[in-house]
This record gives sequence, structure tokens and C-alpha cells, in this order.
Amino acid sequence: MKKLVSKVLSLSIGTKLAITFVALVCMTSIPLSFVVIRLSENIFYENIIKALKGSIAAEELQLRYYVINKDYWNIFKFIKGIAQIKHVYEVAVVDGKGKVLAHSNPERFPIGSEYKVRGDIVYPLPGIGSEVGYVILTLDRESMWAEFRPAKLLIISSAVPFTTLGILLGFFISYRIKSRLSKIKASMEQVRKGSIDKVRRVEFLEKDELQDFADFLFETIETLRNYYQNIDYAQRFYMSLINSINEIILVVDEEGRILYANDKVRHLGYEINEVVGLELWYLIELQDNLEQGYREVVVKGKVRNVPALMGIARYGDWDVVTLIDISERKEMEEKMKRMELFSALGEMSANFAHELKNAMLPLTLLMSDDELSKEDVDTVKKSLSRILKLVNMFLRFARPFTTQKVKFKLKAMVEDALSVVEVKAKEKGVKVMKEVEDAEIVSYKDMLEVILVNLLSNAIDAVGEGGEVGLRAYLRDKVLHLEVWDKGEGIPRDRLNKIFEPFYTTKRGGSGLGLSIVLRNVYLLGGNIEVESEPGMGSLFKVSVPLQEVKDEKNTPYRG
Amino acid sequence: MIWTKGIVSLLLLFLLAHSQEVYRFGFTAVVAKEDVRSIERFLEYLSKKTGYAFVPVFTKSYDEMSYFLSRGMVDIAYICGAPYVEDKDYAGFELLAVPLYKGKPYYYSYVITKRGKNYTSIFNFKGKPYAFSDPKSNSGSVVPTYLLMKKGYRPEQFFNPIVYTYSHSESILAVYYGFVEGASVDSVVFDQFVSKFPKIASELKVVESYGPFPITPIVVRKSVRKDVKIALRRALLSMGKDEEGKKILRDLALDGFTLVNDGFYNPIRNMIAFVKKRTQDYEKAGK
Repeated sequence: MKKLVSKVLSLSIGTKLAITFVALVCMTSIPLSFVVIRLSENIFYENIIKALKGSIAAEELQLRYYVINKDYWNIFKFIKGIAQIKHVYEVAVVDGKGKVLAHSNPERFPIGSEYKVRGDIVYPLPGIGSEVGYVILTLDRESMWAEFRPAKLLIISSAVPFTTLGILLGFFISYRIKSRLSKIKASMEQVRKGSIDKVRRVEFLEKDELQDFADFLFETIETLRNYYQNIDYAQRFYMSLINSINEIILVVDEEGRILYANDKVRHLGYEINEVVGLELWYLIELQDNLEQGYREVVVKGKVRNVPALMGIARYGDWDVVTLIDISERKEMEEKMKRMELFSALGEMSANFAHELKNAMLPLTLLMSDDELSKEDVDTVKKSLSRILKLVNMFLRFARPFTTQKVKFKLKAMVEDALSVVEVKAKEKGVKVMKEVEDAEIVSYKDMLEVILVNLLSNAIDAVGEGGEVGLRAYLRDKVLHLEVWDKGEGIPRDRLNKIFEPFYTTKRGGSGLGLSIVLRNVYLLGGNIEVESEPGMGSLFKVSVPLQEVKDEKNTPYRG
Repeated sequence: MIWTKGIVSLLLLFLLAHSQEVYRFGFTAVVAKEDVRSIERFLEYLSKKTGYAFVPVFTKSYDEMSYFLSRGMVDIAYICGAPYVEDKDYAGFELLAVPLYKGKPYYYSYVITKRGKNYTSIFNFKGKPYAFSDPKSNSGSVVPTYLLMKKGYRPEQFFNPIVYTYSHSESILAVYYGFVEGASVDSVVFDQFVSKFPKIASELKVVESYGPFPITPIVVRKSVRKDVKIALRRALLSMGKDEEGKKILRDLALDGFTLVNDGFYNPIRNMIAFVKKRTQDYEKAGK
């Protein structure tokens, strides 16, 4: 049953409609015909009965008189008359006791015989107090229905063409609906196949809901078509935009698989379809996970590796990776560095001479003494050793920088620097104050020493006879702080930004390289230098050098 | 002038009245009343021959006709021998003429039934419905009653029941329809019926024929003027002698008219006397 129901439900609309029509027509016309026939039969029957009763009634009084008089022959004549009326099968007139007074078939029911037939009409002949007799009339149903048969046939035959017409109409309507639905479906099929441009408006003869539906679909498709055109335009617009950008754009999924690449991947020697589907790691060497932001990477091209700046933007399910080719910029940087190196070499030469001069100063001073004390001899030795070192250092400038980090005591480094300027201070009667933290550090001792010597030398120069200079050296958060101050005349504000320029000097006999060397060394050490100066009050140079962040040798600009 | 006018108009009125002297002619069951055309032609013939006008009057029974005659509502009547015998004195009528049936003033009482039925005598109809015409009819009542009583039957007990049709022709139809098994009818009426309705008659047969009996007479009120009686008698007697009259008579199954005296009806008188006596005997015997 359930199976049948579902089977019926899954029939096509056309079939269902046809079945419904047929069922409807059958359910209405057949019972209707039946009812009409029954009704007509009843009316027909009632009319006959009525007519017959009328005929009896017309002669009732006469008949009653005959019955009372037992006038058999006249009763019979009456019966004969009634019996001749159409559809009368037999008529009897009986007395009050049911005995036959006359019967239309006298041989079957002679006078005085019992009559027990229940006729279609039992017409009483009223007397006073009781009936004097009855007219009992039986209809000839066969002849009656035979007469009614043409009417019956007419009803049925009129129902047949209507039923047929109804069924045909049902089939026709269902066929139309089905074929129209198929037309709509066919046009939708084109949409499904993608040829949305080929869809044409479907026109039916019937301007009904199906036409409305088809129109609605067509208009929807029309809207979609415009929408698609817009999308298509937008897509082409953005594609050209994306492809016109210099960056390589890759879209990767969560697992790092490349979903999309713009045509700039051709710069790497790849076709787009070669890249799509690859894992990003195949193109770019990455140790860590993809982190949002920018970093420099090396992209493995088909022909050569390309340095690039990689940007990552996360969008939930996918990441957008941009790669900017920075090989040109890298080359520029290299060039710049080389040029810097050349200018530095020049600076260094002047520097070297200046340092050499500073180192030779105690020797020049001691040359005037005839006899050298042991202390003087030590000073000479130290000066010579310093000159040697400087020479070596200069040589090293010409070659790759090879100064090694060493472990040393801060105090020793300060003492070494002080010993260089000690003679100059003594000569000028300058008092050198020092405040040095007792700490052991690992760094480029020579470079720090150069910084300190130059700053102290400048400070001594800045003060007058018997002036006061000082230094402070301490560690804070793995940063080495070196401060050198003087109570000299200070630096005018307008000159503060020129003091680090090479060959800039205010001193007579100054090379103008002292602070330049300081700056260079601070830079090489990855540190920082600040100047505070107040004209007439003195100056304070603050150098800070991170001890951990010292640049690796290979990252130094003075690589060969 | 006025007097002259008055006398003339009175005279005209008299003449008019005389020329339009109307007599009512009664017909009973002895003729088939349905044969109105023949009756009309018969009266037209008489009118032509006598110069009097005749209006037909029909009654259902002989009693009614006798009564009409006694009251002068009917002047002349064609009745049966039995009512003639019984009613002539009280009703005041006399014989005018008697018809000739097959050349003689006699007729028969037929016992009829349907062809194909096995009855051979009136006595076979015991317990069956049987048609009498008028209770006062000679052939349709007195004769069968007399015959049964002669054999010791009382007809109202012998038949079941006696159906009075008050008309010989209707008795014939009652047999034809099967409403009764048999009937006693006037031979003149039956013959007339046979000639008029041969198809129906072919379904019937005469089982017995009793007679001859004095034929059904035409009677006239005694008080009718003698000249009228003479004129009528003359017309009737000559009827069988001219072609026109013969033709009319043929339709009535008659040959002509003749004259008889009252004693001619004694056979009927005797039968009635017998029946009456026998009935009284039955009553005496308490049957």
C-alpha cells in the first residue's frame, strides 16, 4: 500500500493530472448519471401513478355505486378502461373483504376469488365507516421501463460524450502542462550547461501561471546574466590588476598548497599551472611556520634563485603570499656598501695618521728628556706597542676585518685607554676623573678602546689648563655604557650635527677624524652615540654598545 | 286587422305544431344501442313515411322503459316479450307490430361461450360467472331461469354469480372478454352483432339455441292517437317491401314487420308463471 502510494506520488505531473481528471469525471458523471436516472425513473413512476390515480378518481363515485350494487359488469367495464391505460399490468376491484368483484384478467381471477396481490396502487373506495372496496392496480414494469429506456439511454449517452470530453480535456491539459514544463526545463538545462546567453524567453499560448513562472525564470536568468557579466568584467579587471602588479601573488591553503598564482610567477621561469598544486616549501625555504608580516626569503626559480621580500596575509582558510623581487635592491645595497668602503678607506688613512700621531706624542715628548726613567721607558714601550697595533689595525682595514671578540676586564680596557691620553693630560694638568664598574665582558676590546681614547683625547683638548674631564663605564641590561664628559667650553648648538662628519674640526692641528672614527666603531659594534653639550658648561658623550647583539662577521659591511 | 293577424298567426302556429308532431321512440336492449346510425335511419324512415318526427329515447332497463311508457315519457317502444307480458296492463301500452326474424316473428335464446371452451349446454356453467342481460329479458333471463328451474336449480345459486349486463350486446362482450364463461342472449342481437363485428364473433360460439319464442315487439301507448298508430303500423308493415326499408332492417338483422295478437305471447306468459310459481315454492320450502 505504502509502496503504491509512493509510486503514485512519484508519477509525473501529467499522469497525475490525467488520473485526477479521469477520476473526477468518473466520480461525478457516473454517480450523477445514476442519480439522474434514478430521479427520472422516480418522477416517471410517480407521474404514471398520479395519472392512474387521476383516472380512478374521475370515476370513483360511479365505481363506488357499482361496487355497492355489485354491478360486476360495469365494474369490469371500468377495469377494462383502466387496464387499457399504458403500463397497467392488471387491475382488480375487490370488495371490503378482498374478494374479487372484477379483474382485468378474469380467467385468472374470476369473480369472488381471493386477491392478495399488493399492487402499485391500492385505491380505496370509501363508504360510510369503512371502505366498500378497493381498486388494486399493478403496473407493467417491463413496459414502463421499456418506455423509459430511451430516456435512460439518452441520459447515459449524453453522459458518455461529456465523460469522454472531460477525459480528453484532462489528457489535453495535462499534456500541455507537461510539454510546457519540459520546455521550461529545456531552457533551464541550457543554463545548467553554462550557455546562459542562449536562453530565450519561452512563450506559451496559455497566458497562465506557468507563463508567469516561465517569465519569472527568464527574468531571473536575465538578471543572473547581467550579474555574471558584471562578475566576469570584475574578474577580468581584477585579474589584469593582479597581473599588472610587480609582485608575485600566491594563494595557499592551510596546508601550504598553492591554490592560485598570478602570471608574475613566469619571472621565476614557471608557468601558472606548474605552480598551482605545489607546496609553498618547494618554492621558498622556510624553517618556521608562516607568520603574518614581511621577511626576506630566497625563492627557488627555475633558472636562478631570487631574493625576495615575502609578505603573508592570513584570511582564515587561506593565506595570501606576496613576493617582491628584491635582487635589484640587493645589488644596489652591495654597490652602496662598496662605495662606503672606499670612502671609509680614505677616512681610515687620515684616521690612521691621526692615531699614529697621538701614539707618537709621548715619544716626541720624551725625546726632549736626556735620561729616561724606568717609567718613561715603559711609556715609550707602550707607545711603540700602540703604534705597532695601529699599524696592524690599519693593515687589517685593508684586509677583511678580523678583530676577534675577547674576554676582558672593563677596568683593564679603561686603564689601557687612559694610559694613551695620560701624558697629554699630565702635560696640560688636566685632571681625569674615572668611575668604572668592575665587570668582565666579551666584546671587541680594541674597538672600544679606540672609542674611549678618542673621546678622552677630545675631552682633554676641550678643557683649558688644569681643567677636568671624566669617564664612566658600566653595564646595564647587557648594554655597555661608556660616558666621557668635560667641563670645557662646549659645542655651539649649530655645530652639533657636524661634529661627526669626517675632517670636521675646530681644533688647531686636529685631523677632524676622531669623532668620525668613534662613530664608525660604534656603528660596527651595533651601538649608539649621543651628545649633550651646553656652551660654556661642557659636553657629555654617551656611547651604548649591546654586548650580545654584536654583528656576526659575515654580516659586517667589510667583508671582502 | 289585429284580429286577422292574430288568427293567421294562430293558424300558422297550429300548422307548424302539426307538422312538427314529435313522438318519442324508446329503444331497449333488444337492439344494439351502440348501432345509433341504424336506429337514426330507422326513425328517419318512419318519419318520412308518417310525416311525424321521432326522437329516440334509451333506457338502461325494461322496467325503466315500462315506467316511461306508463308516464307518457315514451310513446312508442321496442321492448322484449317478457316486459310486454308483465307490464302492458299497468303501463298502458299495446302491440304495434312485431318484427320478422328470418321471415318469422320468432327468435331464439342463445347460450354462447368462447370458442375453444368445452361447454355444450347451459347446465355446464354451474359455479361459473354467467351473464344475463336484463332481469326482465325473455331470452337473456326468463328463458335460462325457466330452464334451470325446470331442472330444479335456482339460477342465483347455480351461477357464481349472475352478471347482469342490461344489454345483450354487452353480454356478448362479457363473454368475449372472458369476464363471464357464458351468456344467454337474444338471437336477433347476436346475429346483428355477428354481422357488425365478425372478428369478435369469430371468437365466440353458440352452444345451445332455445326457442323459438315470440319475438320482441314494438309497443305503443294506448293513449296515442289512432291515426298515428295506423300511420306507424302501415309504415312498419310496408318497410320490408321497399328497398330503403329492407336495407335498414338488414342492419338490424330483421326482415320486416307483421301483426300478431296478444295471445301470441302466451308461451312467455307460461314461462314467467312457472318461474314465479317455482320461486314461491322455494320460498315456501324455505330454500
